[in-house]
Amino acid sequence: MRQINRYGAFLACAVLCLFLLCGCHREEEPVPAPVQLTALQYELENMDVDFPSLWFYQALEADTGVHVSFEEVKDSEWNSRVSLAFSSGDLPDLILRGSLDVEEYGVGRGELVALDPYIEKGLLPHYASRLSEPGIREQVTASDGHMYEFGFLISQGVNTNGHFFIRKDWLEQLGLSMPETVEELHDVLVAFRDGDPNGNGLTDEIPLELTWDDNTTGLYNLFSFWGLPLNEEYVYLDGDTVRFAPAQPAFLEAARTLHTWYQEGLLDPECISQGSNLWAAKVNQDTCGMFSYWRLENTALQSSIAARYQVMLPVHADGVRPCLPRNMDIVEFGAAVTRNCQHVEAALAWLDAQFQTETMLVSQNGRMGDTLMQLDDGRYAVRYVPEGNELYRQVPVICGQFFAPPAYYDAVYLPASHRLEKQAYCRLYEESGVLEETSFKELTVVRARQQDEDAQISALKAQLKHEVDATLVRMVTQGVEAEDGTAFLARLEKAGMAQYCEVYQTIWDRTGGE
Amino acid sequence: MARLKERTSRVFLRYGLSYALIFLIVFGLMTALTYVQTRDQVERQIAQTQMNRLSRIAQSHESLIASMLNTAEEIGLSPYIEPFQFAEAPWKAYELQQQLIPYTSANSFSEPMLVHFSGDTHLYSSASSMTVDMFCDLMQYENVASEVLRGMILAPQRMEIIPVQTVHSSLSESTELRLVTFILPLGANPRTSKGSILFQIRESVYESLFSDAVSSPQNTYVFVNDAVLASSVALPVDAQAVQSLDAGVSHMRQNGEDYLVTRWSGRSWDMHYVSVMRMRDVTSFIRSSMLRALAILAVMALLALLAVFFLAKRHARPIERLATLIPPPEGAQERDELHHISRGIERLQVNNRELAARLESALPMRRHELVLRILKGRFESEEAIREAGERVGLKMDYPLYAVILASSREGADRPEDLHEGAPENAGMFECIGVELVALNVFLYLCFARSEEELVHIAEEIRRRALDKGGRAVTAMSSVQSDLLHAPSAYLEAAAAYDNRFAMGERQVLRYDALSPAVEAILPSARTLTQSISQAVTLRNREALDGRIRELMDFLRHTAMSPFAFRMIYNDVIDVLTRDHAREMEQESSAREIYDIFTLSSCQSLDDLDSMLRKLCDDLLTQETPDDSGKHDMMDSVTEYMQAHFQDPELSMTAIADSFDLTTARLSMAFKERMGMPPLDYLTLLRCEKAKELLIKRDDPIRDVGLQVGYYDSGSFIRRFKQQTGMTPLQYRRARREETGKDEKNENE
Repeated sequence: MRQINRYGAFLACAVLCLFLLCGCHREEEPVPAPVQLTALQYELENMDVDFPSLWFYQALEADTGVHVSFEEVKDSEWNSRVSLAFSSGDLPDLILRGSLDVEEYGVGRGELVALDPYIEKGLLPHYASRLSEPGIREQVTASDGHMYEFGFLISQGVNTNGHFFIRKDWLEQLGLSMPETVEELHDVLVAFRDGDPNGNGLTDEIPLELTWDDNTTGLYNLFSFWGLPLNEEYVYLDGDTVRFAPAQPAFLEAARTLHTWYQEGLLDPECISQGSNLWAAKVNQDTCGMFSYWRLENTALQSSIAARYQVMLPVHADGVRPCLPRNMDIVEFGAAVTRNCQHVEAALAWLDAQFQTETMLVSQNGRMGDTLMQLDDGRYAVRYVPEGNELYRQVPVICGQFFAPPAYYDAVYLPASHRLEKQAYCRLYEESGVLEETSFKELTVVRARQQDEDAQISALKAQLKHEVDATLVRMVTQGVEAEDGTAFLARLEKAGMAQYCEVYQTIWDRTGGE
Repeated sequence: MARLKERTSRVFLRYGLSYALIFLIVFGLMTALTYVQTRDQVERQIAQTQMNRLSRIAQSHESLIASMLNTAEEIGLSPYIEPFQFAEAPWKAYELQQQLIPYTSANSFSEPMLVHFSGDTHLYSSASSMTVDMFCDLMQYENVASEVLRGMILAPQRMEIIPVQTVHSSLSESTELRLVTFILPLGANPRTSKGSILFQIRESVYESLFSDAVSSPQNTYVFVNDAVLASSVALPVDAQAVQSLDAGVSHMRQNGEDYLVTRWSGRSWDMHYVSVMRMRDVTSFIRSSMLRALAILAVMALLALLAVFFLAKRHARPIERLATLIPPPEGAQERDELHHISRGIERLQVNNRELAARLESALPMRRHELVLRILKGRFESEEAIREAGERVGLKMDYPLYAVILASSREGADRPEDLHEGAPENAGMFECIGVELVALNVFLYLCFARSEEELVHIAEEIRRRALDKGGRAVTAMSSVQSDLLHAPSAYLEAAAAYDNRFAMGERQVLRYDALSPAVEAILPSARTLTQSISQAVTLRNREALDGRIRELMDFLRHTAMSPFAFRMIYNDVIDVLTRDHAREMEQESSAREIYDIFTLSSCQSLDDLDSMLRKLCDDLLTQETPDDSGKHDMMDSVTEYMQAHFQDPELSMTAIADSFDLTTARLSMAFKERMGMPPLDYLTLLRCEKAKELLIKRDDPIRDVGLQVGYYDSGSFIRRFKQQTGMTPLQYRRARREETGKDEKNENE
């Protein structure tokens, strides 16, 4: 009993001392409770990431004092979930990545917080500083002139989808120079066909290897030789006027020449129906003399084959400036703050913190010192890419916030070599002036459409594409008769060409034209 | 004690082990039965599950094949899809692509299907077209030569199936594919076929078909003809050995491992679907199922264990108790408790028999004792008497009884048994006879349902006595119903017996038939007796002497028969014992005096005088219980009344006020203490004093009344007469006459 009493006394003393120590402890500054926000977070279909447990967001919470409760939504369910959120009124504070109809929910319903006032107040220093690059602010400005979204942009600096490549060894072997006109090209292709440049004794060379209806490996790029920037949307801008490319006289002229080349066996006869896989397989068989493609390095082409080609500028018909469709960086939806948010400034601070350069690059590429490194010139570069989806266990990658317009991105980030290769081709084409002045994507993607306009465009495009492609197939394979032009135009009219152009013209005019 | 504890724990242990063994056997049997049933059931279930699974796989697979056949037939029969030759009409390739799009969508389980028209060089899909040669060059099948493949595509005779194998492809980003290939003729009839259609199904599609396999490793095969079309393999089993087994469920042993093989035959195309499981996995399923059953059994076993504990405890307890009550004899060899208990019970039985015999032999004596106790008034209630009677085998639940005395015959040492030789009398009456040796009589306490029966019993006793040639003096008390009056009944019988001198032996001497002459004397004697009782109550020894002397004088001067004498002193004793019985119970001397048989032996006035004086003396000298303040107060009240009774102003109110009591409270407490109301006590005090004054002085009656507290002489005379039965004047004269006679007798 005495021993128990002794222990009891000791315990009582210990508790007493503890209380005394607590009393003596200097009162610390109270740590403010983090601001609580909710978010709908877009997630790739094959992703299975617990966003709150990501190291990146935990560090971000420590820096900003904002805790975000994520509701992860898969790609397939994204649209319906977003619609449900807006229709039910049970809105999260933030909508992150995926896609969002800013026109409807921001302009139409006023459910999104406009960012302009906060930018003016200087609350978004990192993000706002990148809006000044050409063509960027417009992409994130809605039809009412306000900005309701944070853009998502990883600038590639790509202005052309398909560059032309030609077998330099064949040219040298056959003693040919780089063609600059359509006629010169014709001669080169004929020489490729007949000259057995691969030296196997067979006439298995395919002078010009193509697919069909695209601007990377497709036949469409050949129309640039006649100054016609034929793209997959079929419209381009002539100043402030919207033109339907297949309806232009150059289309028929080009079709006639291509039919001749087809007949002469200069084009792969299967180009009208083959896919890109078969195209690549044929190129890799070392029988193709020329093609258009994204780039050479790190593609479907074998490096040994790719090394035999060199870039060439598009040739031109007589008196015509070649004109390829111009590509441009398209700003995607990054994030938006809803009217439901009670802590708008905290939410904006949390978002803008992600646009700080290093934070942003880390969110995309992984931790500094591990997968990401900083070069001597101050730029960042990727050290290595982890196997599988390891990167997604630390950082949000494509589902995070990223906004890097071309100039800014060039200044802070050194791309991989294949990207540098592509950029060199793009610079060449830009400097050579073979690209359309205003990218058709400015019209078809950047400029904000209204919902009914979008529906009309989708419906009309399907009809017009069918008509254009079917006609073009026949023209290339069977030839263009004199009356074909009129009949073709009539069919295009019937398919809604004028209405199609008119809708685009309306959009262009409404959004301020050039 | 330790030995006892050890023994009891041993009993508990023995019972516990016995029950545990029983439960163990039961649970063992249940477990075995459960195992057999579970094993069969689980194996059947697994086999059935596998059959169902294979059936589902077959159904899904056949629906894929049916979809491909339908597509081939639709394209072959479609009027919108006309065969063409690429070289002649290449643009039709583009048109065909557009037409194939919906068919491709409908067969999304396959890679984009490829259509070939007879006589053409090309294959067309919804996404691309190429020559057959190029396809065969770019798609290198591991086990099918390009030429063979080409032949299948160009001239299919029927549905050609190329089982799953690796295909090195230059047409796909994945350069190595695992494909199952179906080549079907275009159209319903191979002979009129427009060409062929080629479907390539990735192995992953089959894997998804097999993906519903249970968690344990197993192989699933789809056989077409004798070849494995597709499979999911997790076990090292030779597929050909599996293929040769019959449909249904069978067992197979390979490489020292037992397998359960389930085979389902498809409806067509000679396809078979087979699953192979290791028997040890099946056993593991059985084991896991058994574990569930065992868990239930374990719970039941736990409950059984509790039951064992409680049952053993419950059954051991009586043995433990018996062992405690019947311990083995000292020094006995340790053996089974039951042995000791049975031996102990045998010993007890012997003892019981001996005891019963002793009790049987002691029964007359006990009855004798009981009768004497009844007659001495030792019981407080009739119920107690009857219960005591039952204990000695006497039934006393008769409404009437009487005491009969019969002279004992010389040489006859026991009373008559009236039931002896007359079993027909059983239940009609009860009669217990005892011998009063000192008085030389037999006493019978007889019970019956009517007075006639009692009289008949008395006559029967007399008749039997006469038959035996002895004296036949028989006396009977009056018929009584209250057993507590048995002492009086005895006295009555004794009185009647004493009358034998007058009445002789010719008939039963009944108390009720005695001379009524005694009734003329009895009232006066009773008044004197009351005076004695009152003097006892007043604890006035002088008055008591006077009253006893008055009674003795009366009796001496009254001519009476022995019966009358007995009647009077019976009355005296009865009054005294009734009024002061409680006090008498306190002292053994009083009980001795009150012994009814001592009283009945009183034969003369002197005997009575000395007996009365002794009795009264004892009553006066015994200590009054002094156990409460209330009694103290009543003693004070008594003393107060004794001191002030001559005060005419003394009333109940005055006394109550003096002791700070209400009159009602005073009256109740006084009566409880003294056995009479205070007013009666006051009257008694005054009358006693008046008697003294009447004898000793010659004061006028009115003055005597005044001296003892009565203003009104009429009231004094009325009260005095109520107390003594005569007026004060009559009392003075009577007393003086008696005194004169005494003096005269003394002088003479």
